[in-house]
Amino acid sequence: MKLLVVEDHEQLSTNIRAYLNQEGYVCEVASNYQQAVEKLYAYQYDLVALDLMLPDGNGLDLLKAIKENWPHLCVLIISAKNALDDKIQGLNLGADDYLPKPFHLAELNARLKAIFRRKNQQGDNSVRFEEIALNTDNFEVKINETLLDLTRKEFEMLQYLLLNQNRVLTKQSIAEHLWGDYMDTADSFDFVYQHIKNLRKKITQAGGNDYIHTVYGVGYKFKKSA
Amino acid sequence: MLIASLVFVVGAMFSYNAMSREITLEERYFLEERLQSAIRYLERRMPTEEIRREKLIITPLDSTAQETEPMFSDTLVTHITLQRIEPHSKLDVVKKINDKAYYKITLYDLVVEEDDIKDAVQESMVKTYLLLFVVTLVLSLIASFYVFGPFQKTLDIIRNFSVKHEFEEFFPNTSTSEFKKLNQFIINMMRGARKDYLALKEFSENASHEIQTPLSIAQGKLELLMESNDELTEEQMELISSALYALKRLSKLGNSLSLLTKIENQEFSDFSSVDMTKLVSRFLFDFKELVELKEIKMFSEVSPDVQVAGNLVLLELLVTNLLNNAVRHNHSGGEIYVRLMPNKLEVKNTGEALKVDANDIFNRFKKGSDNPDSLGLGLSIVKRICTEHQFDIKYTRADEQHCFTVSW
Repeated sequence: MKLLVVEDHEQLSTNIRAYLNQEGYVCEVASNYQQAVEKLYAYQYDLVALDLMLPDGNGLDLLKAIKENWPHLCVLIISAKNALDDKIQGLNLGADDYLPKPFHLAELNARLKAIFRRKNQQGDNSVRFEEIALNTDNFEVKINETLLDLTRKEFEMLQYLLLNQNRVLTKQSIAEHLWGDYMDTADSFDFVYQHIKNLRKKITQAGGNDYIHTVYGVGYKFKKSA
Repeated sequence: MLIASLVFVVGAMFSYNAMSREITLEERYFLEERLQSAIRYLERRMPTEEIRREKLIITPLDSTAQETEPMFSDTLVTHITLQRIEPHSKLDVVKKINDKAYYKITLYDLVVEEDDIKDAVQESMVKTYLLLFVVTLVLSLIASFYVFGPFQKTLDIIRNFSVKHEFEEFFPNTSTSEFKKLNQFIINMMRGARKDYLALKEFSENASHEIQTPLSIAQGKLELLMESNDELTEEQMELISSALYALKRLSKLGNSLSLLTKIENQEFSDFSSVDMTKLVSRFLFDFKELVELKEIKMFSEVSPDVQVAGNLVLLELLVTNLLNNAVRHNHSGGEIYVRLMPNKLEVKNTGEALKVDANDIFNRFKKGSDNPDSLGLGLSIVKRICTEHQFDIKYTRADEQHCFTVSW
């Protein structure tokens, strides 16, 4: 999967690249409008992560240009301006998602994967991990063909864990993924714990292995071996 | 007008004096003239009998009499036509006529009484005063309308001026140079205030979102650091985790402040009719999980079909902030009551008494509790949203419960 990160802050694009490289993405960085356009003409990409504030232009203009010239290219907007207007305008212009800064890299990863799957793997909306099969169309999870009875939040949590396999996911990042900004951090930690507990129980009861590992004091990690 | 009335009293006294003096003199001239005609009459007739006519008595005297100068005096005489006693002035004189006989001539004439003069002066003065009063009033009204008209408009412009809004730089033309100067001063002042306000606004807008990028970077670095967890001890992981928590708080703070600024700048001006019943029910459902987790009992009473004119995003924020507040400042086993009426929304919750004055509760960074998750901005945002919608928000505390009432 080839990704172009259009972001003028070098440190931030380095973070993104470092994280996503481990996920198997091929990550290229453009630090301004001009460079982004040049790279878009020169290479083929599957996805563009686009910052709206660029030193030499507006990201929304770039988005328009992308949608005109490469209509099938997926675009995720990253913006420090947590402005509703920008978000609505961006989505109206054809962006696939909008992620306000600061974001968790795991969240970015999950969103990029979701976009990519939506666009490029039409017909196959399932994620598989060993005996676990997760279907994003009908929100069903099966363990070796046994259907799990999961709540919506448990489903979303499992999906987030699966999309970020072998990664440490902080409780904070999970809580934000599930409930956005409204939950208190302290409360949401208890909340995450409760949901993880229930999810583990449901998977093991259905005969699955427990792949959720606790990283003490921090969060959880979804991985194969103990 | 008071001064004018004083002037009028003094003026009345002067004119009274002048008039009475003039009248006395006139009376004397008149009596003397009649005396001359009486003398001419006597010179022709030389009567021997006493003559009594109206206002005239002529008595022949014997030759021993002496001529005298005319003597003026006041006396009371019955007035024939009026049939009552009236004060008269009297002239007594003894005259030698044709060098033969002496006559005593007494002449009377009605005196113009002092009271009459006073009355007349008073009346004329009062009338003049009233006339002057009315004329002054009318003139000043006309003057304020024409001369002060531009000034009034200037006052209106100042009254309607707010640094938050674009103002009309139109001041009425005036020929009065003082007003021209005043208008110029005011325009300069308003421009200055507006410029400073815009600069400040831009700064706070930029500041609150400019911090999000460095925060993003720091957060990403820490998350990458955490990935190398095999080499990290549990303690180190916890350190990273609390650093991440602090970063999140800072970012929330920036977002809340920029939200406040945006509401103040009226960037949420898209008003429509909002179905509060639907909105409140939805958030009650969303909060159910959280409330259950904290073992809080939630009771709600939602009136059907409550419509409110407002901005959807802001009203959502209003409701979530109030609910969040009720959950956060509650205790395990506590209670929350949410009541949506056609004209108000009431959120009541059990919780510890405030640590700050109840009047400060809506101020920024005034925290009513020690909850570390509280930024101290939620209620400021609530208040700001209420102000923007011209809703009324009240805080009361009764029976160990906090109660917020928003009425529209």
